[in-house]
Amino acid sequence: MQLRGHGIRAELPGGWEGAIRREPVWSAAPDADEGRLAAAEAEQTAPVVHLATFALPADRGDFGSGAVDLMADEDAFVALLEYGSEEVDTPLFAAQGLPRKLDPRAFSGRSLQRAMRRQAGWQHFFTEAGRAFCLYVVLGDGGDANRQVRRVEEVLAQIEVEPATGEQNR
Amino acid sequence: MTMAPVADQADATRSISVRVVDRLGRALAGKGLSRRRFLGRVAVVGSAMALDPIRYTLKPGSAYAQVCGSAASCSSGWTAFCCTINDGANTCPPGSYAAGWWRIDDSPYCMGKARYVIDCNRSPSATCSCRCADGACDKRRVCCNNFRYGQCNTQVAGVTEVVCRVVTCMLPWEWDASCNRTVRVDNRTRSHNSSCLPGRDATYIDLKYQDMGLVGSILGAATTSERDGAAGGRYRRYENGSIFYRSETGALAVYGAIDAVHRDLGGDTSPLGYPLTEVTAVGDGAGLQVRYQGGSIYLQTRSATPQPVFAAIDERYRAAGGPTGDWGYPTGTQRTGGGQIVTFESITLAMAAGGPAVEVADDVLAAARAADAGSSDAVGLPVAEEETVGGARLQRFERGLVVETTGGSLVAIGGDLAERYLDAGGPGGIWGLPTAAPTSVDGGRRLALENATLFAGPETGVRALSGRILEEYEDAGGPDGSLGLPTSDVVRVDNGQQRASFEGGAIVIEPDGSVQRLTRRTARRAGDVNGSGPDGTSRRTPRSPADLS
Repeated sequence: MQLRGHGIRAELPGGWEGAIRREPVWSAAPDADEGRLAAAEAEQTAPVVHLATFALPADRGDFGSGAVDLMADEDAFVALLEYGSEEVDTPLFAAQGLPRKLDPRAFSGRSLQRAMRRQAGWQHFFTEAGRAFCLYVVLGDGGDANRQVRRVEEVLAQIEVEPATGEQNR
Repeated sequence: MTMAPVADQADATRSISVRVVDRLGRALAGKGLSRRRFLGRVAVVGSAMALDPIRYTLKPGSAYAQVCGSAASCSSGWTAFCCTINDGANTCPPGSYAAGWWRIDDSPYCMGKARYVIDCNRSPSATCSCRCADGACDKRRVCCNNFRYGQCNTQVAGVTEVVCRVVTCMLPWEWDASCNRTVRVDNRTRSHNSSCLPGRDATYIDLKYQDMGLVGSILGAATTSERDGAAGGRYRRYENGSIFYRSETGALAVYGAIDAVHRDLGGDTSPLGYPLTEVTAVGDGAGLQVRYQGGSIYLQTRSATPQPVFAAIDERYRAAGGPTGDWGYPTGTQRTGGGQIVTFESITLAMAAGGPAVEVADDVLAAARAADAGSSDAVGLPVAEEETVGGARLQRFERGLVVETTGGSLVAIGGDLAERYLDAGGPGGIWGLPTAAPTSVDGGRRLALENATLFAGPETGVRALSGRILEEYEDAGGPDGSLGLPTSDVVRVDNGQQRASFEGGAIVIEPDGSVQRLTRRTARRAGDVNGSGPDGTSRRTPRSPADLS
């Protein structure tokens, strides 16, 4: 399975599925004043890539809420989220390059958006090809991190990020 | 027939929901609960009843879920709301900073619009330990989840624990300029809430207060309930300010000394009415301002005394650049007779009730104020700009004018005298400039001009005398003499006479220059006629026909 969109490509290994999406701009209510409407329209939407070893539900948060609830112990979830181009090279995004090798010891049950029994997570902000990203990985069973991390590395190795064109964010 | 006990009768008058809350609160209290925890439980039940009384009455166990939403327990894995752990303040607690945000679409807690959740993460230099919150029903985790959304304060590297969550119905980058606009969405958290946050029945004022930080805001704690205001508006008072709501403006918060002045003036019922803006900084950074329906209040930071500027004066002031224009800040204001005088750093403007805003010089204002209040020459406030007429300064006021005299001083001339003077051209007319301020005379007032003198009385009107007749009148004692006040101007008649009538007679200048002073005869009784003639001479004795020969 191949994913492609918004300057991101991934050839998914067997057992993985994924999606690339971009959040819709907040739709202001009809009675919203012009100022708020203009401000809302100024929201920047940026691509979000979700990769999982299980079926992704349609209703899920950008960091996987709603999806991670469905994970079995042997499952893994990967979220690659892009940020605004103005964030490139800020201290938070100072690290260079999408990590291809992960340290299983870095995974922790406390490094999760929402602590879930047995799960372990890891989060990393970085700049790749002139674009700012966050990589967030959730393992179904933190006790089996060594094996599950290798599986995640396989899919990370397949991700390619094209250089920034200005089209990725708006 | 049996009567219910008094207590039960009283109970019967209360709503079902109130009674249910009471009883459930008692049931929840149980044994061994502290007062604080008991009250917290009662509050949750009360909130649940307010939100959905039928459902809650049928399913009392869902009270916490009604108020705090799903996954409110510590074991649920989510992070608690800041107001739960921060003494009610919907702000990042000390030792934490805004680290990122997400959007919830169509939130019931933001009137169906977007709600934003902002994570407050531990500051890198601070410490905190993982624990469960002790809210009435928000028992979620505190300082446990090492996670970052990443749209705020990206100058801070690294990921630390989320201490708590702030919620707003306003855009995160407006709430905190350190946040960027990259949107992240998590609608799975739509039901999350806390008993210290507004519920689904929140008003615009509630949401405004929430977005400002609740008790952690500059407003402080609420001191009144939300109330109806004038003209369909709403307002609520707080320790250090107010929030006003009108459909035209939404909810606006005004605080500090500016709100105190507005409140002293009468708040929404004052001439200023409702605010049109919140407290905004003046462009020069040296002051604050709030615009209202009927004017503005300005506060030059160093003066610490906010100055209300009303209606037309404010419009003119703002058109001239406001505080950053040439006039500077208002330094003093005075309300008088429905109008206002505002002294700015380099100019004074005045406005009569409903009138235009006009500039008024200090010496003109001093002359106007020199007339005793309540006197005929109390001219009120200026209604037109100062002008030069006949080489003299002149400014029209509500009830008269201030004009320059022949000696260069300024005098106020009020009422009918001013009207007559202006009708004749004022300083540019034939009468010339005043030589002095109006003075009081017996029964009226006098205004001495270069070429005439005006006399005014309530019965006689304003009369102008000049030339020989004026001289003769003054010789005869003027208004204090037997002639009294003039009842006509100087009139030239066809036979060449000049005449003027007075309350007590007349003065006639014959063509040959001779003068007659005629004294009005007083009405006499028939019997008086026997005593003397009309001119006071003795009555002639009756004469016989023989005397005529």
